Amino acid sequence: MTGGTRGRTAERCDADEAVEQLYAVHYRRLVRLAVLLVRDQAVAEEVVQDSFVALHGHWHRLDDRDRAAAYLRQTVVNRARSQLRRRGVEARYAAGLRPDTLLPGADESALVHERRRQVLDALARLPRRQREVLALRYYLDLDEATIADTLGISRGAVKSHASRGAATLRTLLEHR
Amino acid sequence: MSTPTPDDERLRALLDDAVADVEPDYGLDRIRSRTRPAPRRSWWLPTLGALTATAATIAAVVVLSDRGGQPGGPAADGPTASASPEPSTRTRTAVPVYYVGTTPAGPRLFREFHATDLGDGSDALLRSAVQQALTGKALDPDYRSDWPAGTTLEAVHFDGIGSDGLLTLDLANAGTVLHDRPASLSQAEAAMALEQLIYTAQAATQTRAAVQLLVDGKPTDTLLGQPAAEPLSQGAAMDVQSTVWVTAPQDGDTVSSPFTVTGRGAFFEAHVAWQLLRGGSVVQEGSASAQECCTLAPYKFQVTADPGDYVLRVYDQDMSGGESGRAEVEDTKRVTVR
Repeated sequence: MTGGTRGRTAERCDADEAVEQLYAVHYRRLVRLAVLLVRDQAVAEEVVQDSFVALHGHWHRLDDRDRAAAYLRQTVVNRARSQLRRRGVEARYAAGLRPDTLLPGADESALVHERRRQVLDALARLPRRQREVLALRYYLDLDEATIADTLGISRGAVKSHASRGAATLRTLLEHR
Repeated sequence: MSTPTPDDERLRALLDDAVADVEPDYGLDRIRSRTRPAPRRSWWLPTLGALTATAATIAAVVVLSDRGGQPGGPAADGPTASASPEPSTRTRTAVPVYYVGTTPAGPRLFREFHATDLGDGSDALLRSAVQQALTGKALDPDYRSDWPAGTTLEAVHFDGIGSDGLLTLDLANAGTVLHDRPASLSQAEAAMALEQLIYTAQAATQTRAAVQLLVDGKPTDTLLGQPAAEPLSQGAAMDVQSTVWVTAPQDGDTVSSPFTVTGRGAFFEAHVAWQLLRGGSVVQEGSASAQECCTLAPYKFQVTADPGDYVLRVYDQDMSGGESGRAEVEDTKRVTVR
């Protein structure tokens, strides 16, 4: 019953506690980020849960524990991307079909608010990189350098995706 | 990109609003079930075990920066989700509520989670949490609220994002003047009553946003005799929260053996002492180590016990055998082992 020994159990305990604490601080925000990226809440929750599981497995290979939040963020973006790819959602948006009729979970009352739907629809129509940059920049309030690291692109690319994305979003919202 | 433009502000508001009413299901138990080495019953929030909670509402224990820093280089694909989350009813939510308990150091805050059916609206969780803090119906009979009876929450407002936002709580009491400290409350109790609302509102919004307290819709220079004209930020955890907490199981929980006890506290030499009592006698005792000593740090241990009703006591043990005259800080929970 005494927990003083360091070893596998203690390490697992560390990872468990870390996940619990990170969950408390970041879970909701990351799910919301993922909703901006994949549009669908159930998929978003799955993406974020997967990311926490991945962090837990990766915990003892993180060289700097302060980077846990960055790790989670990056994993969420990557997994959101593979989800979209897997589901072919981008193609459907591009074809102009209403996402609500296609995606599970979209009939939730939370999604019916028109203004919100318009923004999410418009985001979904953006090229993937532009959407990612806008979400990281304007929802998570990350600076250019951090976004560049998260997405593995140059700062110049961040800048151009941001301005193009903002312009496209504005056009899409004005023409509705 | 360094200078914010009106356009930046507009986009920020737009994206924030777009997901403002996304309240994720309680996901920690699902994550845990996938990170646990062997299949075992879920112990997390046992009172909610049968329910599907809709919001992630744990008060932040440790705030890790969400900004800056470089990613540790995660692989793009790790373990992959095998299935979509099960459908949920989205009715019950684990609402965090802080209460006051008496400790040797004076009144201190303890937190409980209450499974609550929430109404609609983005502020339903915040509203419910603060209301429950005011009415003082804690699960643990050792906890209470010191707010004068009849104090109600008239309105809540959360304006902003994260720590930059402002939480506004509008209180009223038809029978008691809330401006002054009631004679029945000590100075420390009155101060802790305000902290109780600040901690609860911040936990419910998962922020550290400052809290503006109003009475009858208007600012007040004092509330229960405490300065309240300005928005208030939370008091230092070590001064406000109990230094010994059991977070699970909660009081009145039924668990199966073995069960895991989690909590946090500031223990002398990180030594977490516990006892299992039955009919007032100690039937089992042990100790565990908190992650760190002398600061509020998490701890966790397992208890194996025969079926029956117990009181679990976790305490900061007086190593001098009572010679120091230092009272032991404790948290107790009634637990039924089935």
